[in-house]
Amino acid sequence: MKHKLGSFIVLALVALITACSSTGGNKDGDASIEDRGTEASASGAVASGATSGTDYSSAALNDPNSPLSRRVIYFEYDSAEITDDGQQLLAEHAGYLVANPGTHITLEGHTDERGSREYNIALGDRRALSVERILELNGVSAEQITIVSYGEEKPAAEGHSDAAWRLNRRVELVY
Amino acid sequence: MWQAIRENPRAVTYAVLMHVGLLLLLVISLDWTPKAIKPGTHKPIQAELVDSSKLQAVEEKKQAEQQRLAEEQRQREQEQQRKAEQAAQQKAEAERKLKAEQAAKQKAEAEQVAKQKAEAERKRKAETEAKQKAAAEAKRKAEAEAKQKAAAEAKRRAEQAAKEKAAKEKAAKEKAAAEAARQREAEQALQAQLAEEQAQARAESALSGYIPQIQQKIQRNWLRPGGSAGGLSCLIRVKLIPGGEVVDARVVRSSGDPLFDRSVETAVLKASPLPLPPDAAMFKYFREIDFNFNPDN
Amino acid sequence: MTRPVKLLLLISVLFTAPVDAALTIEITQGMEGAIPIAVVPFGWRGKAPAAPENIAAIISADLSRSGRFESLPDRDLVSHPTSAEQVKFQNWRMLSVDNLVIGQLEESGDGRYTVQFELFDVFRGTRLTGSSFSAATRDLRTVAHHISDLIYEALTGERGAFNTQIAYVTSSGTGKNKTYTLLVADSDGYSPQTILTSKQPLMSPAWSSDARQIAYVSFENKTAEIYIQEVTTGSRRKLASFKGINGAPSWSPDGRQLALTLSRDGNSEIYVMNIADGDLRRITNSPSIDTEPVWTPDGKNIVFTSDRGGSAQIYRVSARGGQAQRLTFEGKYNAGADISPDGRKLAMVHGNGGGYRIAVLDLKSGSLRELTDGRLDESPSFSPNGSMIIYATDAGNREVLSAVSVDGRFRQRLSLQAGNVREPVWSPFSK
Repeated sequence: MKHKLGSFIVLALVALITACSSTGGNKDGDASIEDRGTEASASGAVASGATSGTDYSSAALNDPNSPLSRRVIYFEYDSAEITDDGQQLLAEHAGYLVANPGTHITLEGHTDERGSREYNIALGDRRALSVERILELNGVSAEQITIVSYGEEKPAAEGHSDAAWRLNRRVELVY
Repeated sequence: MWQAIRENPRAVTYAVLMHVGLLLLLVISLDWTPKAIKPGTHKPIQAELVDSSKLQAVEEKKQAEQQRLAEEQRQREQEQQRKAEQAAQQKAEAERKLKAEQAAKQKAEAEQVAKQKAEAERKRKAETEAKQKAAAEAKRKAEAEAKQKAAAEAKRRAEQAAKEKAAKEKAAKEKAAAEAARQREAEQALQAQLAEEQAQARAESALSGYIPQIQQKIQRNWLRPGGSAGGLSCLIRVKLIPGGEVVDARVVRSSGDPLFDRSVETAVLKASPLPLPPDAAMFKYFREIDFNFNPDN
Repeated sequence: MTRPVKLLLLISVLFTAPVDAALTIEITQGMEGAIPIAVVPFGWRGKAPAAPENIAAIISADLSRSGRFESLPDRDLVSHPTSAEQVKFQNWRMLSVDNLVIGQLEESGDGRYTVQFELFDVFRGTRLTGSSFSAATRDLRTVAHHISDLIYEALTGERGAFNTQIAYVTSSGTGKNKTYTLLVADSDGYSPQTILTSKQPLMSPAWSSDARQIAYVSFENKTAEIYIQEVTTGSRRKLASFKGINGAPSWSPDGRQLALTLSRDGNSEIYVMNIADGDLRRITNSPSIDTEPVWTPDGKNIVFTSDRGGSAQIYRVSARGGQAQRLTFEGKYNAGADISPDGRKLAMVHGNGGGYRIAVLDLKSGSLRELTDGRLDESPSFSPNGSMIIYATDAGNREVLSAVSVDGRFRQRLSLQAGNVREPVWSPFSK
């Protein structure tokens, strides 16, 4: 008897979720972020029509094939501007966070090693704030987000080359 | 004659002093004013009571007496005047004689004085100009020495001849002697000046070769203190012995910064011995040198 | 000739001015460079075959590191006098050393020693100064640094900064095994003592003006927090742990306030905190990055980094807040400033496209001068006598510390332990 109720609930949920995802008609990358934002806020808490086929279940977080497996946003030198690619990725993560309002995310801001350390702390902070803003525009609540900047203190790649530096100018999304 | 003066400084000093003394005496003794002539005194007339004829006779007698007295008086006055004139003439004559003597003496003194002054002037000019000029020219040391000797010899002979000439002409007419002496003075001054200029030029050309060498050695050895302010300058007086070794170095105008001053002293001591011309006669120009350390100008 | 004229001639002869004998030569240039000095190994009297410390070597290294002196290498010493009567100045003049230092170290029992030194002017052949000290074994290096200070002061007129300390951060290991350490060492890098060790980053050490405390940023709680810690006892307390950035602490000259960077109000801004009661006052208010505050020595202004003009530049604002004035106009990037003890110069990280170098800005004239030529130089810090700057640079694959004289003429690597050494700060003179 219990089993039947439980499995029915699961089926219903699955149906609901798949229904939701299948009603989305937009292709990947068609709409601009502003449109999405408007859509999201207009429709309220439930994200709809973000991207086709993205699974925002908690299991999706561990799925290496999900876009959510990409957790790093990269930046140009001395800049906190987010590229189109970055914005798309952030939309995905926003989607997940909105779908899982109990989930918390920490945005870690980093820079490459050039220049003075505390300035780089502030620059990393600014990058993390940029990411936070995008997430919030996508409907994520501020309470779900924590920001920390490590400046140049925790490089992803050691070395003094442009290649290493490029990999260090980043914000990491840490769940 | 110049050499005589140079070699007997004490004698010259005494001569000058003596002449001063004499002059002062002359000035004092000649300074008297002519005596005033005193008027003669009249005898007082004694009055008596007499009659008119007697009175007339007395009157006539009186008149004759008066005339006689007046005549005597006139004669006496004339005599006195003549005597006074004579005395005045004599005095004037004596004065003139003394004046002439004095003039002659003064002329001789003045000659000597002028000569000495010219000598002192020449000396000073030669030394100050040698000090101040530093032109770049080729060295002609041997030539300079020989020329200098010849010029000195010629000068000596010329001065000897001038001396004799002056002595002869003094004996002749006094007015002519004064005129001739004055002319000779001017000539000698000119000659002295020319010789002076030539000697200077020679000294300068010899010096100019050595000053840059000295400057370079000092500059090479001067470590400017790093932390000092700009615009500092320091004057240091250095005494050398022949060979260029520094035997005394003393700051005469401090820069105000003891570190700067000390670096200047060290520079001068480190640069010892300074490169001097090997000619011993040139050493006198380098016996004492003032170095003006003035890097920001 | 008339009488008056003759009189005049006579008088003029008598009163002719005395002849001036001196020739005057102008000296308009000299050499610029280090003062050559010979520091002779000190004489040793004690039971052990060798002295516990090579005092002369410490002094020699100190003087050379300042850039103002060039020490004669030991092998070039012609003789080894240890007392004044053994000195033959003629020998030292031939070596062209301006000054000579000699001394003695003697065991006085109970683990104590007597250290004695004398300083001579070689060319004048005079003794300039000398003194004698008593010290335990562990204080012998301190005595040597103190002697270096006395010699430096006697010969340059400036206070020596050899008997001072530096604080710095090291990191060793990689990835999960990375360890960060905050250390305090002598100004020559010797005798390091660990102040704090952590698995998380440590940053921005700052000395209080009495040299007794250090403020720093620690990520030990996974976020930036500011602590102040007493150097001798190790006791510490957390001073700032607001939301977001807590960084770049800087002590006010009177020791009562701390300037710091916080982002609690949205983005990085500069605040001043009263240390006693934690009272906070905001100094900047702009959407740009404002960080790295440094107090001017008179305690009236704060110099800081801001990109409000489009790129990172140095600005100055009153410690009470208000309109900020831009100070740097050359180069694309100027940050991480330190101010000289006399308040007249700023040392900073200066980027001009070729790399990041240490540059010094003269606040009065506005002229900027690069002192180093590395690619990744950072964290400049003035010595307390203002004559040297210590900074971090990279040497191949290691971060190391280097010191450069303020005129840029002399530079020397500080030999410290292994690992990456960064963020050096030179302590003030201890009072």
